[in-house]
Amino acid sequence: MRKLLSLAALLAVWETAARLSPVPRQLFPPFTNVLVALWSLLLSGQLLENYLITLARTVSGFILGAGLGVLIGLALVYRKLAYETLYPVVTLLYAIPAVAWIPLFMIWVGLNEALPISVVFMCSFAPMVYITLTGARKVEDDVIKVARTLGANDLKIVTTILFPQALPSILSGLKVEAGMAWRSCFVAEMVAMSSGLGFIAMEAESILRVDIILAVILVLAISNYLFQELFEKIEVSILRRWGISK
Amino acid sequence: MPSIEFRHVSNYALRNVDFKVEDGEFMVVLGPSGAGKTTLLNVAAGLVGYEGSVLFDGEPVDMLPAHRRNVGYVPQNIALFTHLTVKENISYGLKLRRLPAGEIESRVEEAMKLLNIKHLENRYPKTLSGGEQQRVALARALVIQPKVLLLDEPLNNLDLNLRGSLRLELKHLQRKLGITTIFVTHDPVEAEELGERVAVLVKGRIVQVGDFTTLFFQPASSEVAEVLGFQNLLLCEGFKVLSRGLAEARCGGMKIVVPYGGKGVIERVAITPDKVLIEEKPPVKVNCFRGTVEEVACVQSKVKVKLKVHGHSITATLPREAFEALNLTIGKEVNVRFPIKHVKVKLREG
Repeated sequence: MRKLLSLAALLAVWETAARLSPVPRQLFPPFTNVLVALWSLLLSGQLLENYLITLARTVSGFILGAGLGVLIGLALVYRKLAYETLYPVVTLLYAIPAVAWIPLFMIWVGLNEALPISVVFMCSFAPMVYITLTGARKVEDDVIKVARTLGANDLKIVTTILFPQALPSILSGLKVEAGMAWRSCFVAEMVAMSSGLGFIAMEAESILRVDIILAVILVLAISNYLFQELFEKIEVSILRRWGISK
Repeated sequence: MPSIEFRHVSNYALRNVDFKVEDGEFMVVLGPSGAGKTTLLNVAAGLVGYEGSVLFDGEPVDMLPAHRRNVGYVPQNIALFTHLTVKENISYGLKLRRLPAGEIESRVEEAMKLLNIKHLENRYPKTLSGGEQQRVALARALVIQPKVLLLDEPLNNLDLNLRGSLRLELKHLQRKLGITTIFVTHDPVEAEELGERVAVLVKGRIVQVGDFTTLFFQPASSEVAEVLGFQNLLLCEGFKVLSRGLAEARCGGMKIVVPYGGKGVIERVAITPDKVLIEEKPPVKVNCFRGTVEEVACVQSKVKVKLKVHGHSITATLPREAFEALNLTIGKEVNVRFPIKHVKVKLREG
């Protein structure tokens, strides 16, 4: 309820400020004008088509990057050799912002579907390695020792102990990285693609349609929020189930 | 159940450890912190590297990795799998062995009944009390029908009352199942109550093995004496038999009623510091003497009080709360009592 109230207050301030402001409405449209722009984008089918394109790019890049990140993270925590060889590389990749890859990928990958997916992949991969590694390293040594004495081999320890016990950390990471994935995809589309939400925003900029830009940003924000809420719900339900309150 | 034998085992924490735990025996390994107790269990379980040999029932198991040795292991911090329910924790080892579902179900049920935790089966470890977690860890270790049971100070994190009752239960359970057990502890009281034999481990070496009374009265070295809390040892000048099972020993002005089996001459009388009671109003007058507080020292959660009783220097260790309740100060006169059941005697054939 409080969340809704604060949101409503923000929108009311926006609406009032835009209506009372001396700035032309074309440059600073009220919230209701943005809703109208959103409605017309929906009616034309343009929004849904481009939204689905962005969604597909974000989800595929995110699944590939986060999935591989979790696997490599588990391998790093369990195998000393893998840790020693791959950890410095991961740390290096972690420091590079995802959008910094765009110019490079434009040359290497080309201006096609693989470009935003690669950018999202890079955005999710290194952080998820790092987060998984941190989560799995919190598992006490004694827990692994007991599992071993009960008959678990290396693979079983990873799949039945390390992964589930690192899951709360992994879900926390996914929650944050899902938002990053949407943002990276949006930027890649703005810079280099001719479809997707980012592309619509850039098109609107060229014809000075601030209401469309804001409508697209609103859609991006809502998608981002829904993704984060999904992971938050899963995380909370797991922690509650295990008796670890959150 | 097989025996377990360590032959010249050495590694980063152990030095030429050489001893055997007999088939079905409850062996306590007693030693101070850092003596290598946990490492010894890890060696038995195959969890750390070592030189020398470990034998189960005479067969070397050195080449077997931990997951093939079939040992039950309960570490100091219990280490339950927090993402699994009690029932799933217990069945974990059986599922890895790919036993038929029916057999897994019946063995888990049996283990839960044995440890009285059936009502907890769907709970997660974080929602259980310390004592309940302890039982689950034991059930998980026992359900795989291990060759040996390795217990690493499992009662350490529990409160005193619970420790006492679980100790008894553990002993009873071990006798019932006849499982060869190594229990490591730093607590001489635990060693005395649990161990058929006690091995004293100091700085990675087993320095003496024997029953607790032998170790207590005949420590092989000052290290052993220290580990056993060797204090309050009184020379007996004479004694008279009071009744079946009891005698009165004369120790420099004190007449101490002691347990007496009816054979032999009482040479020495002893009581461990944690069994010496200091009371304002003793409930009974037997073995109760006046003494004076000479020294007070805090050791972790306990307080060590040195008393002068009939010219003897007697040490008592009290929980901090008991010490504060008694308001003991140096020079204060107090009643000191030796409960009969905790007094030990050393006998000589005669």
